[in-house]
Amino acid sequence: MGRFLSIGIVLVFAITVPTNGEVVSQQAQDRDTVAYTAKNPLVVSATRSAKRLEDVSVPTTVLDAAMITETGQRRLDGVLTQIPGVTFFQDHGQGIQMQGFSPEYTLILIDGEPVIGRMAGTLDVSRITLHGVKHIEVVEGPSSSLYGSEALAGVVNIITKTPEAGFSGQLSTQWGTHAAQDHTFRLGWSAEELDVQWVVNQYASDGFDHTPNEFGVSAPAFDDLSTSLTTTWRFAPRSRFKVQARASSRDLQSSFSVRQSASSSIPYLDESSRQDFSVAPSLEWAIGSRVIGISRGYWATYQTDQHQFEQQTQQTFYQDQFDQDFLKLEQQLNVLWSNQHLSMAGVGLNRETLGGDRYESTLQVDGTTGQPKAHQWFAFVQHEWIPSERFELNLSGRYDRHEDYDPQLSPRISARWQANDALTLRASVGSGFKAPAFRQLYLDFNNSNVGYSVFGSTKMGEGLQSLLDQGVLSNLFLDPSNLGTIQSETSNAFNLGATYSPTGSLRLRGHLFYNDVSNLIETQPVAQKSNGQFVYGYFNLDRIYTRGARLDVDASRTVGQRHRLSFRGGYQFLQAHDREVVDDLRAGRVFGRDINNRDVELSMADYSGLFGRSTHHVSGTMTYQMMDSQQRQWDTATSSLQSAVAPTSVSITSRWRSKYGYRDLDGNGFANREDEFVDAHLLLDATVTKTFSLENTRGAQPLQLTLQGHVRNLTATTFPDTNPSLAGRQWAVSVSFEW
Amino acid sequence: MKRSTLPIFVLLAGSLLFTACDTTSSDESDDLFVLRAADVEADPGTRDPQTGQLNSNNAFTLYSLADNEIVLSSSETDPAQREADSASTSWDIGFKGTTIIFNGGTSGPGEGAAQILEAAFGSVTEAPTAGYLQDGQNSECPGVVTPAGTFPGAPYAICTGDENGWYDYQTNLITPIAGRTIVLKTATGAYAKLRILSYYKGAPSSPDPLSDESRYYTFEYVLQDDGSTDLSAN
Repeated sequence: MGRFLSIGIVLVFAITVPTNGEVVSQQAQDRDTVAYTAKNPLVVSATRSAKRLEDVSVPTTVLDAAMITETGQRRLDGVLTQIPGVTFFQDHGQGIQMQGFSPEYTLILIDGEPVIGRMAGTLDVSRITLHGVKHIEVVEGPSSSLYGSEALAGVVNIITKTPEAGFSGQLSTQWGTHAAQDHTFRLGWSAEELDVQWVVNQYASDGFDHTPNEFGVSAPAFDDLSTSLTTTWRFAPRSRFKVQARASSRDLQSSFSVRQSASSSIPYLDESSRQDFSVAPSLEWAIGSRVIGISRGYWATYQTDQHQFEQQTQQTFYQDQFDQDFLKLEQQLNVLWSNQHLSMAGVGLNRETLGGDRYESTLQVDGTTGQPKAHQWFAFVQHEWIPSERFELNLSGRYDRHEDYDPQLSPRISARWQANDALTLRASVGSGFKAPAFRQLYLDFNNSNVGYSVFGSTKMGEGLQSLLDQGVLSNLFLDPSNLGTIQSETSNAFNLGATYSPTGSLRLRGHLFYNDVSNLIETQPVAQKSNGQFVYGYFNLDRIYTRGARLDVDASRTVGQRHRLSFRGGYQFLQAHDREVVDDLRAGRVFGRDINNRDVELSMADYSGLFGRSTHHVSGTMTYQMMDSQQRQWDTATSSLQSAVAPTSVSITSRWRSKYGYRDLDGNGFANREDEFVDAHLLLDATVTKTFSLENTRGAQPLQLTLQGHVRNLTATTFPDTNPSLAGRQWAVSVSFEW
Repeated sequence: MKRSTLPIFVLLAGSLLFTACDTTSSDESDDLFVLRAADVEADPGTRDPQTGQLNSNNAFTLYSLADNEIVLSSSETDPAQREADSASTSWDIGFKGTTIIFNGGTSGPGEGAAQILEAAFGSVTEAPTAGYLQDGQNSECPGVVTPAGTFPGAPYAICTGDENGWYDYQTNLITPIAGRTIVLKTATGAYAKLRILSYYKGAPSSPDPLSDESRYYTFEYVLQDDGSTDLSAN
């Protein structure tokens, strides 16, 4: 009964907590009175309201600050790949692959607001600093029923810290191989009603080159500067007004060469820059004791400028500017009907404007140039029913309506059942979607060098007409008056999992997933021009599925009262298959050529799935921590899985993945020959941490000096040809001063 | 232990001898083998670095499958010699660039004809009896896309152009399509199957269009000279 009551408390508490994870109530400050440990923290991403991690019914992983610190991570990319099955996916930036999906299918949020700005679908997660982060929540499987587009493979939500009472701050610096540097200044102030936090971060590197004898670098040099300012005003009990503003810029310098013949190539330089800015005001107010209203606004801009030119002649090879402007207004209402019923509903509106070389058309009928502008509105609902402390049912759904693609309805149902004190089962069935990307909707591109054209779905009609009028089309493959509207890429998914915690120091989590994805958008020629080149359009064509199993282990062991060894890691089995290829393979219609160029018929056993996907992933972080004798000791009795930063720690992270396909040499569209794969490999990182604490005279926050040494990719495993962005062995040292 | 070795050896040797005799007496004449032709020039030339224009003889190399040798090379420029060989039935298959011809129809006086099967070379064990076309008879060839525009496909038995016949063309690279086996009739009407392994000199497994010399065929074939359609090879 005691436990049931505590769920009720959490529920009441939950409605006071907004979706961005900011803990408002004093209860949260007083961590000991509430049983929210780091092992079982409050999470917000799974249900858009605060809930204890073990009470959510969808697969959720939390990466806490202690773990981030002890593994020496400063950027989001490094820490996410510690989750078994989450891997880097390099394509126009460092993206992440989750449940076998490429980066465009994972939604990245900071305090609940989407980070915008993707290049070729990839949101470069190395953009995001981990300074000032409380924890990171990762929800796997579709969450489109709450978040809409992009939340198809999963959601990553970065939850920022609230400053400690009084003045607090941090000055931290890291230097390492390739002149990599990461400097941060953080200043916080917190009083009864007001919190202010300011973070400035600089992140830079000279890049590196695996092949110094050849012109062109393996990874570019860059200089990244970002800042954020968060102000929270708690004007009434359980009510507050918060404004979060962020700005960042990155300058990037790269070089590459284009081969002209067997012996000659032309050197090119690449100078790019990126600016982004966002401001997110939010207002929460309590209406009586059972209702909370949350109003949110979000305005974000993102600009890139890329210039590639010949090194000798300075002649421009390629130039592209891109502007994105995103505005969102949203109203959410949380209602606690009773201890067993909790509802949430919301409506919102998005406006997006695009600009840049590829989008500002001169093809419009009236001869004007114009920026594509699109409006979208959406509504979402969720109901949580908790008939007993052991069972919970969660129903949610969202409707998205956009002017330029078909409306989308995304339902999800999930349930949690606690079979006994040690075993909890979770199941969810839901659908996810990803809206057509900008290029798929609005691209208006004529390649002047080669002579082909590509039109987004909204530009196809007028684009074809214009080319017809100019008399440059020789052959139409479809009737321009008969173009259908483009649809979102959609998935139906199920996730089934079990958590088994036989003791306080061991937790096993098993999990099966299946994603059935259809309407994947591909290019297809729609017409041929008289110059022999094609006109391409975007169509809903491909169907894939990803399926797999995962096992996560969290374990710790204390030796005496000062030493602790903990392990966190797991294994993922993954298959990501194209249905058309599977059908063709089963029908014996797929062939390959062996290393001697002889053709062979292939079977399912030869199919490696989509490129860049390893069948097996193993990852794990082993941490040794030692407490100072005079300081607090491990509480061995209750929560030995609880993370806390210890004065001395050594952490080793390993990631192993089996071979994965990266190219096709024999014309069947997938990797089946040994020379089409990147070999299986292991990456090892290690971090040593030593913290010195000085008791503050005011008795509040102690002064802390933290020294760290890091080595990344200890074994210097590199693949210069097949994965040039994987750096060799890198050393770094960090100094951090907190007060 | 040591004593028993000798009788077993004798027994083994005897059985080997026995099987060998057996093979010679009945099967040898029927056994078909995969024959290989390497680096058969198909009108190679040099490309003008400015215009990309090819300088070559613009002539076919004619090849005899029965003799597994070149009858007339594309480098032969004597018109009388070329005329004499082309008009004979001493060749079965001809190569010029990506174009392949067979000695029959518009290409020669023989019975040559061909078709492409969508099957791996190894799994074609029986030549079809129907479906062959002679050069000049094939009205189904799709248009060929070139930088200068699209041209109607020439009516060769094996169509030319990217993905139309035996090869695909991507990023300046000609690659034989896996799982397309040419079955053909030779100038004298015998059945054969043939697979192209490479279009580049030395048959590299991943050719580089910038450094590897193109217009050299390496191919493998099985020729059935007893008049039957059996193409199963050892």
